[in-house]
Amino acid sequence: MAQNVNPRLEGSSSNSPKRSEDMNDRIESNKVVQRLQKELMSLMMSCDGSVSAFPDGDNLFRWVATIVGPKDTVYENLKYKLSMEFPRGYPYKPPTVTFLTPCFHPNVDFATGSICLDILKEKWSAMYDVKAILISLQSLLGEPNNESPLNVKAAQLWPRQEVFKATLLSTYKESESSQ
Amino acid sequence: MDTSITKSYWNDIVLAFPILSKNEKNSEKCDDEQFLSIKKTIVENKLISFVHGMVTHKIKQDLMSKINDFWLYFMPYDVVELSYLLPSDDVSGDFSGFEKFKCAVDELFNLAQSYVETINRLQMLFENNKINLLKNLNAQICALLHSTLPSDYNKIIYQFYRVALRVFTKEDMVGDKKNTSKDGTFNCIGCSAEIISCKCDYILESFHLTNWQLITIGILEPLAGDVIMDLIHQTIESEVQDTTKDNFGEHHISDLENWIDKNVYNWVKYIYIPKHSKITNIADINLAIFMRKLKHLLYESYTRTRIDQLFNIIIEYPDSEPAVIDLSFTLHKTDFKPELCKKLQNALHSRLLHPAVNTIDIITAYTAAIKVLRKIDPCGALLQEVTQPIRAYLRSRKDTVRCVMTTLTEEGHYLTDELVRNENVLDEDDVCEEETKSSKRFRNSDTVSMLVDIYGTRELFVNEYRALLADRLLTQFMDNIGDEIRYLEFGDSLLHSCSVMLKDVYDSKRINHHLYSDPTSNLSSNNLNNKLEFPVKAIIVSNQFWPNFKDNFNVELPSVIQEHLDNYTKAFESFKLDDNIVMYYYKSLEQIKIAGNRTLNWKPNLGIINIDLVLKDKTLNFTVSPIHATIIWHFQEQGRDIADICVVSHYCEEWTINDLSIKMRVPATTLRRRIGFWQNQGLLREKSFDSFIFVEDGIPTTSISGKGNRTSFVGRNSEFVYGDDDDEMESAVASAQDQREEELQVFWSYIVGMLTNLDSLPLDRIHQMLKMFATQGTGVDCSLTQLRLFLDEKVKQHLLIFTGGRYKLSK
Repeated sequence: MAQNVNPRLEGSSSNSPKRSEDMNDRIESNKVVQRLQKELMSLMMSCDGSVSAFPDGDNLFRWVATIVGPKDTVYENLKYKLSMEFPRGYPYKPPTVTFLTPCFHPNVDFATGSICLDILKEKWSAMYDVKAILISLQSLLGEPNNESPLNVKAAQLWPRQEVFKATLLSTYKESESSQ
Repeated sequence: MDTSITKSYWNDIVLAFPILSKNEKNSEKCDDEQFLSIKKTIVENKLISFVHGMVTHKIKQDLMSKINDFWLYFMPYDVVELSYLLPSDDVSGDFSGFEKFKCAVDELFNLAQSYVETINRLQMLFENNKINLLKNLNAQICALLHSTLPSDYNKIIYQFYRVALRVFTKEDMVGDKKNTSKDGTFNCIGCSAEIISCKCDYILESFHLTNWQLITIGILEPLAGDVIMDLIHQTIESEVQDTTKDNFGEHHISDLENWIDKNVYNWVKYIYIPKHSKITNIADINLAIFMRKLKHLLYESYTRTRIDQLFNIIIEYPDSEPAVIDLSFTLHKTDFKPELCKKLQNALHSRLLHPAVNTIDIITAYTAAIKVLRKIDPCGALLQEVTQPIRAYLRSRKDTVRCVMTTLTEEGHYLTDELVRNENVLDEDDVCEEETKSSKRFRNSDTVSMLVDIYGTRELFVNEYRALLADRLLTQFMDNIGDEIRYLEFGDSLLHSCSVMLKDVYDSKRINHHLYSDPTSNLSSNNLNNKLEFPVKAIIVSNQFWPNFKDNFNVELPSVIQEHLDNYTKAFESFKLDDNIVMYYYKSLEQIKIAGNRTLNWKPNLGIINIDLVLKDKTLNFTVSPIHATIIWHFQEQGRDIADICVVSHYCEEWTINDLSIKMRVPATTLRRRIGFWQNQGLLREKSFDSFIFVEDGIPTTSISGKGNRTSFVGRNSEFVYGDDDDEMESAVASAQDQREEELQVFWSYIVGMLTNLDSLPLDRIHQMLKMFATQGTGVDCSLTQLRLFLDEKVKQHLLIFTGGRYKLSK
């Protein structure tokens, strides 16, 4: 987990304890902004149309993302909107990701949209970026982890794909006004 | 009252005021003693108002009957024959007018004088001086005159004053012009009569008298005031015109002021203060005011004249500097700024801003206008207002950027000097207090930045400069780097990539030198096992910093040349670079890619080749592009290997465009254009359609010297013809417009990104988001209007949908 520790924070806290927290904060948030801007640029430049994200309004720390369900799964061609909130400590701390579009999925809370995914929790690494998260989520749609379901009904229905798909489609409603 | 008493009273009154008698001429006059007794009678009988009424009525009637005679003189046809003035050649029309007016005034004066005695007596009836009867009389005359004004009464008044003015100002004329000779006789410039019978003195005398008469009656100002003013105005106008006519190189204002103070003042004084006049005090004050008015007239007239000439003044700047300074002085005293603005803009529109004018000329005029207007109006408001259309127009011209950059970098061009000068003397303008914020920007910015600011951004110019610089560096082979470095100083950080380019060239020079001198290199002269027939010199360019090269195709070079290039590549590969960074390089003749293991990636379309063509009786030297060289190469007989010194002995091959195109891997259209060059040199001939042969004794269809003028590159001992035609010159480097398109493409991916996630957005929101997230680092900007055009274009391509003021992606 050493990679999830900000080396500069570590160093500065021991070397110059007198440095005001505030100052550190500002420098840190500046670094985060730069990092997010870079991620945005690479995301924009990549030609992958199935995942996409963009800052929601003026705040660079809150993004709206869009993923399209992967091919040959029940989620094929379904579009899901997600919100991503980046903490000040990003990328050493994971962003908070929730579904904005209600999602019928074993690992997603249908009502709140919160997601149960290890890499967004204990297995987060500073090596991940927005694109990696979105691709992971995209694959999560097709390959749910039924061991620890958030949505028990969905987990039970999953083995019967036909029924699952019918339920999924009846609950799916593309939100046009997610903002 | 008794009739007899009444009658005797009446007789007395008639005696005292003969004007009342029916037969005025025969009536006898009473002397003063008699008058006193009569006066007593009148006063005692309270007949004053009756008498006054009667007399004034009578005078009025009398005046009315006679006043028409005065105007008779003013009739267009000679109603009144001046018997002593026989129409003859030497009497100009003006002069007859002079005489007429003189007579008219003379008669009027006599008429007025004839009442004076009566009026004086009448005045005596009144004990107090409350009523000034003489003044009343004059007012009455004036009123009567005006009530019967003929339509063109001014004509002879003009003539009168004009004649006098001419006589008066004849002293001002320069000696030579004083007497004009006509038909061998000398005529006086003043009265245009022959010198012997010069009437000048007579004219002045009568003029003086007439003016005095008019003043006495009190009708000088009402009758002739306008005319005098107008004449003076005309005089000033013509004086200003004369002195300033196409002469911008001298200061005139002080001369003109002196002229007003001296000549015009005398003339005015001559009219308004005749020698006999007693009322000098009031007149003096009036005169002072009058003179101030005249000076203002002078300024106005000067300003107006200069405004009309302003376009020429601008064109001739800085030779016209004195005129500009004068104008700035007078403009402050008058209120002509709006007019200046309008007139200059009109002039600019009709004379500068149309398709027939070269862009470079417009730019020259623009810079001159900037300087002139800044002198005239240091605030800069005028400058901004007037030059706005020029900027707008220049924006619409495609070659503006290139022209500006060319002039900026051209050796010895005035703008280049400007550039150097501006570094030293910035902000010496005097401070103007009422400046607005935007005009402040204009005032402070030097001329060069104003040129650069035509587009609002410096980036475009820098890009264009980069393209230009790339062309120059690639074609001139690193000769004048020092010059270029100087230009780089004006654009600060934006020109960073340009300095990298220069550094590339400098480094290439070093590497070239090193490869040829290093004994271990297979290019060095020690390694004679190499058949080194000509030196290859490379320019290694950093991909990131150089403008994009347009390389849709790579010419297939003759094998000999290719061998040499490979040789160079080997030498380069074995050459140890200090650092191991992966870099992308290009080379002038060709493109080079140095990866970790450092290979050269040649760019065979670029660069220049120096070749000698050996014909039967002569050797021709050319410095041409690789494609040119390759074309002519293919026309030589196989068997002799040549390159830098490319000896071509027998030319007998025949090539069709198609075969050549396949052989060289160059598109036929490009090929045809390049072949055109050799055709012009008389070396190739189109035997049949699309089929060419070499001719040894052909005559150049265009003189060689005529070729190079567009590019003005002259090789050491040969004509350089890299840019045979315009588009070729630009072909090496992608134009600023292409680059702009690329930048917009970047924006497009951002726009797709935001619309995918945020569904639909209004225009300004998109603009704002782009500004916030997409412009970092690139320094690229996109105005709201540009963005709208761009988005509308996308709507047309059905990539976007525009509804309810919001854009969204089409499904």
